[in-house]
Amino acid sequence: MAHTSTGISDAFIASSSEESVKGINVQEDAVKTYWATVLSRFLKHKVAVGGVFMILLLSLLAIFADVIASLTGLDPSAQKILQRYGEWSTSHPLGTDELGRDAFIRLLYGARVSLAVAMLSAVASMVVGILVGSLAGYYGGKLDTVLMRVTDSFLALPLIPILILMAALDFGKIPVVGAYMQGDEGSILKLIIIFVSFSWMVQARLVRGAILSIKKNEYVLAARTMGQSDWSIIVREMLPNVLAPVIVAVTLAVGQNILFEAALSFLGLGIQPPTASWGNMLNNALESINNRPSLVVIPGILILITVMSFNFLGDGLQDAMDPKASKS
Amino acid sequence: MSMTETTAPLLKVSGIKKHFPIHSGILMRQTDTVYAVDGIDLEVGRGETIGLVGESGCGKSTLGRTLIRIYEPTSGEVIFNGQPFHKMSRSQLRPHRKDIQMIFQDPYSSLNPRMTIARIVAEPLRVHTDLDRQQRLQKVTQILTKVGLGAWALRRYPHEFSGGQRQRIAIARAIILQPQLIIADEPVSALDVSVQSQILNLMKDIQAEMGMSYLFIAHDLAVVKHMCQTIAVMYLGKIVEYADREQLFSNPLHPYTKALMDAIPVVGEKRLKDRVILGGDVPSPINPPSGCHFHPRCAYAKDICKQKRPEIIGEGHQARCHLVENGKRNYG
Repeated sequence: MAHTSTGISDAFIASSSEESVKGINVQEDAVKTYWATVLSRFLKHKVAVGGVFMILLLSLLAIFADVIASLTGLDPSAQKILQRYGEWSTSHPLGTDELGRDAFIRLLYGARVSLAVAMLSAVASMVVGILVGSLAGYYGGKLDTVLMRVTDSFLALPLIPILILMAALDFGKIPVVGAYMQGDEGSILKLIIIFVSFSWMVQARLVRGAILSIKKNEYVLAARTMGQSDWSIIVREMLPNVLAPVIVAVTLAVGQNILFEAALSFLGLGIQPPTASWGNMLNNALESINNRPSLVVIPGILILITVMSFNFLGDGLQDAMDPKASKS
Repeated sequence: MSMTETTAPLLKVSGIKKHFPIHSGILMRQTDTVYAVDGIDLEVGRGETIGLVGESGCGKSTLGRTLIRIYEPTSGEVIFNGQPFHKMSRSQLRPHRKDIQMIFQDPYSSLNPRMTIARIVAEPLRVHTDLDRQQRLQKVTQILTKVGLGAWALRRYPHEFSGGQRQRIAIARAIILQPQLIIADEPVSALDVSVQSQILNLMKDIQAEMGMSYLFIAHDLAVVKHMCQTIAVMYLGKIVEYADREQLFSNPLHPYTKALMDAIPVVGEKRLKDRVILGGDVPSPINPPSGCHFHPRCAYAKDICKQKRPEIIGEGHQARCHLVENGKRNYG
């Protein structure tokens, strides 16, 4: 009987049989080998690797924005009223904006806000989606009906008007929770809440569908006859088999969230100035486009690059994690 | 173990029924019922192998899954080890689960593709014992060796194995807790014929060594003949004939059993002249035929067969047929 498709030589098998009886940490090993194959397949996807590179670069710049600011002596909120729409120079690499603030350092701080909002809300909506989707899919019946009708209702809401409406609400006035909704962090948290409440449905449906499709598989039944708890069956047996499409959807959602943030902030409803975000840097586009086009074009290009990078990453992951391609 | 426990059968099933409601329409009202398992009595003694045969759709897999409580029984009793298995709550059931395990039909879907063999086989130990990871791994290695694999399999994934090897892994998982009963739901029907006998013999060897009972579900009479001392023939949710192996194969009473026997290809000899040929399919269990469920396909059906539902009768060798009396066929 042939042991199909492993790169491991017979010599290794012979030698490993002794070791693995004493076996050190089988569980970690298991995770590694699966992800190792995913990684090797992902690395063949050049465009996706380029996307990851861009995302890492932007994230590093965003994370070290403070360091760069102190090294260069630039301050994102220092205004020089006499240097409005300043030209590109050594002291201001990308010029200054309509209030004489340095455009370069504002872009870095803007990256911080935009990326954080987009990534955090994508991950948070994944958590909500997995929770709702796996409960609905696993238990079925009435619970499924209720959860899915709620999901449908959220999907049926017209997105942009509600986004604008919610953004206009003052979350700071909500009792108890309101205390956490003040200031800069407050407006970021508020945006995240808004994004999550409008993007968890996609994840929930995805997870539910995937759970439904594997629910009748015999390994799930085997886990039940073994007496495993529902929680353990969902988390240990089912979710690892469902995760691939979810991760892909999360990366795609990050790109979309960046666009939403830009749209809301452009309308003046997202991140409030003076805090910089890529979206609100576009806010003055109408004014600045004539005076200094780069003030609008550069944040725009950054948004474009980031969204495309995340989409490429998603595509690459999709190919790499597709179980049907799992020959290696 | 007290005297009563040793003499009582390991598993006693009486009148077990599993009906599936069919809901349709906007309001999801119940419109129909599938009578998948419709009153089964069965006993499995310690160390015995009981075979359950029947065509696809006769409810044999449903019965297996109802006994092990994947499906909740509609009515009836399942007494396992003197305990009312059918009415225990999930938490009461849990400690008893280790004594009754299942081997599934499809070795390609019964092993989690994301888990290593070590984890798959160790799962029952994780749920039911206090062994630490090291001890579990040792136990798993022993069991894998017992089923003809070895430590080399531990870190691999199911997709690296052939169908026969996968079924060995599934067997390893089922026996690792030394259960008293294994429900084997067509364990070899998805395998190549050449591999089937290996797996069957492995199951026999394991039984000889560990002494568990098997409830062996199959549609292949040759397989059942090889494995089982006692055989129950199922048709449309009911047992139509029940006998030990020799009696069943030498003297099939029910026309359905006879038809199944006659369908076994014979090499060399002339075919029997009175052989019964089975036409058509198993009728829908949603609207089972009146009277004897088998009458629309039975070559010997009389008026009584269309009107009156036969009971299962006989001592030892039992059959559910109006045309059988005192262990003799009054037809053909």
